[in-house]
Amino acid sequence: MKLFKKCPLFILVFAVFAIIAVIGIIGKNGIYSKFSKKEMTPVSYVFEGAKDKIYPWNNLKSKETYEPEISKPDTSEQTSAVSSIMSLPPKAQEKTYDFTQVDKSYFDDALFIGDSRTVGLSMYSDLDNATYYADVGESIYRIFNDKIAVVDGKSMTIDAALSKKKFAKIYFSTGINELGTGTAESFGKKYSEAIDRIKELQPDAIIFAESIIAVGPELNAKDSVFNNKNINERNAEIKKTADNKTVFYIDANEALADKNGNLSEQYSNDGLHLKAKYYDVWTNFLMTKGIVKN
Amino acid sequence: MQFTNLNFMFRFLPAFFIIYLIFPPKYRNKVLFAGSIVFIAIGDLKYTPLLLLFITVSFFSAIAISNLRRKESLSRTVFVATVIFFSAVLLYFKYVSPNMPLGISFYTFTCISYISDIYMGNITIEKSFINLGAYISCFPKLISGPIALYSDMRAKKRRIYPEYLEEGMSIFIIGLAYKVIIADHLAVLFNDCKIIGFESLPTALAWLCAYGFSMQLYFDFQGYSLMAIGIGKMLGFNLPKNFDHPYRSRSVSEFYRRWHMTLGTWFKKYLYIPLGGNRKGISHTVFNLFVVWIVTGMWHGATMNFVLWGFVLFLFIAAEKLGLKNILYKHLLLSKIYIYIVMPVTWVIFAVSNTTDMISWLSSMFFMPSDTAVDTHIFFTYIKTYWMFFAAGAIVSLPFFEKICFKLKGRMIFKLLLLAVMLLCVYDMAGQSGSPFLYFKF
Repeated sequence: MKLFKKCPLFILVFAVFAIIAVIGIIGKNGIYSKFSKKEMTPVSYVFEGAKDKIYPWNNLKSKETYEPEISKPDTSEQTSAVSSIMSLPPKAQEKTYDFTQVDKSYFDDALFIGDSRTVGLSMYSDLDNATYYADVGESIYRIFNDKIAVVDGKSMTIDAALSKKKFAKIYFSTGINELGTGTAESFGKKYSEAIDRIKELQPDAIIFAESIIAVGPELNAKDSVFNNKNINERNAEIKKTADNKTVFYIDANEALADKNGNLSEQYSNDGLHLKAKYYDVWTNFLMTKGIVKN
Repeated sequence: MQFTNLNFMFRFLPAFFIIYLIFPPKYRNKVLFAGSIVFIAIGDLKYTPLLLLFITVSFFSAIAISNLRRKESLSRTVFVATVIFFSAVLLYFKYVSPNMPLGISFYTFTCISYISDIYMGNITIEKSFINLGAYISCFPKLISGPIALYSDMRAKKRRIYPEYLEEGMSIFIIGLAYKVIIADHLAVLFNDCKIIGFESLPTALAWLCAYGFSMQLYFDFQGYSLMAIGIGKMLGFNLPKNFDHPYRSRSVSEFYRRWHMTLGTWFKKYLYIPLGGNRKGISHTVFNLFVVWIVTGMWHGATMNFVLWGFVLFLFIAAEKLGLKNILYKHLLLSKIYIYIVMPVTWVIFAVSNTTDMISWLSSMFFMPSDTAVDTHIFFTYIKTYWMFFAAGAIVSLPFFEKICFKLKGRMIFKLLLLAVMLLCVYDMAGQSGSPFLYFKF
């Protein structure tokens, strides 16, 4: 007690973090199982959990599934969406389309959904006529849960926004933030679920499944996660979702990558994002990949 | 292993501390030495023997210098050879080798200071290898300073005082908050501007980025120094202060008496004064300043921008010596404007190693950006995101804020507040896996 009077803060810090560590250890195989990687401390499980709205007063031992669902309550609807597409009249299913050159006005009724790379597009490209539902750090696992869409000044989820507003073209671009999560297959599965979800919400829209833009040579050489081998594997999965009827795969790396398949060094300072003045390389590419249905 | 790595904070540090506490004071230098070697081995196993080599060389060279004191020329030869050896190894790793051993810039300077103090007769030799090893490798200061002199830390027994535990913990938390809440968030602003490309930054954003970087650097380094001092205090010793409100300075010379003070002291004591200092006339003084600032630049990094940075600082400091100082100290407002323009500009040179980027950034600040892809109103988007970190940095730097903290220091409410700040910091840090790279989301 005497010691506590002399150094209460020191003792408090020790005690509080010891308790948090114990909570982390107890919940290690329970609620915190998805955070309990080797290089993490039990203290960080608890804080990471809190970031994901998992608190110690949730049952510590109960286990949650590792991968967050795109939108849990909607799983049943998704399957029904797939089956409804299956049951479309055969004529609509058979007609495929080719890319044509379009101009800026093509994007008047276009929507871009994506991560920081799409945020960059919204900020620095001259496609200010388009709509953007994008945020930094977005991934296929979160993009339908976060309130990143703004309609009439109100923030809402993409689901809610797509039920309110109609778009003729939807550009979908994620994949870099989740490179460290799961495998190419598990990513591909989530991705095609996401595309199905968009199809269901906007049945008349042309959907562009955009490839993950490559990373720069330096990052590619040194990073075990953020490298172009992983990106190419996942791009192959993205490509599978294309049917050239309503979903079209477009690969901006055709314009942005160098001969080795790395994001061209001059276009980027960090090997991940385009420099502001090079967004027009991307937009010019997009304009060569228009789909016009009559 | 950075102090802001959660594995350091919640594994290494408490484990070390408990062991340190269990041993009686006279064994604690052994524990400190062993713990420091473990600390560096976790961070950089490959070069751990290099640190041990430096300690061994310092130990024997000091004995030789001391024993040969009667034969001045021999003693001098040993001293010069040792200093050349340390400097050559440092230069090799800075300019030739692709890898930099963890902490080498700091422990090289620590070793040179020890040897020089022995040679100059400022201190007597340390007869215990363990005690010397504990001083040189001491993990709180090993990888980023402060550069403590042997006289600051010399002790055979290390006692722990409850008051020191309390003060050390408070200092540690304040340092942590500086680093995590202010510096690491402002680092994202700099990163964003780099991503945009400096040639496209509208003038206002180019300045914001320069101020953001200046503030980031201060809170990062000051935060880190405070954490080191705090850990040192908890272990029972006093590491020297490294910063004293540099942005309250009225000249560049004064700024560098208040910024990274232990490095400034080192250069003054072991380079500037041995070169003759300011005792040999004005032209000699200017030459000595030139040498000191070029070496200071080189010490900070291997790329050319650091040499240029040192040279530019030399120009300002020399101009101040030659009379500019008198004008600055006569006009308060003028000196403030001077500091708040000169410092961010010099930090821009410090920040980017690529010359094209440096020129682009500076020309975006003083002229128009060479590219117009970015609309000027983007400045407000960035202000909206970052104003609170600038504000936090400014508020904690105000004299009256410090006065309030000092008054409340003993109160329970203040301690609970610090505990809350620490929880907030850890919340902010969780999920980074200890890698600053992952901090940035794409």
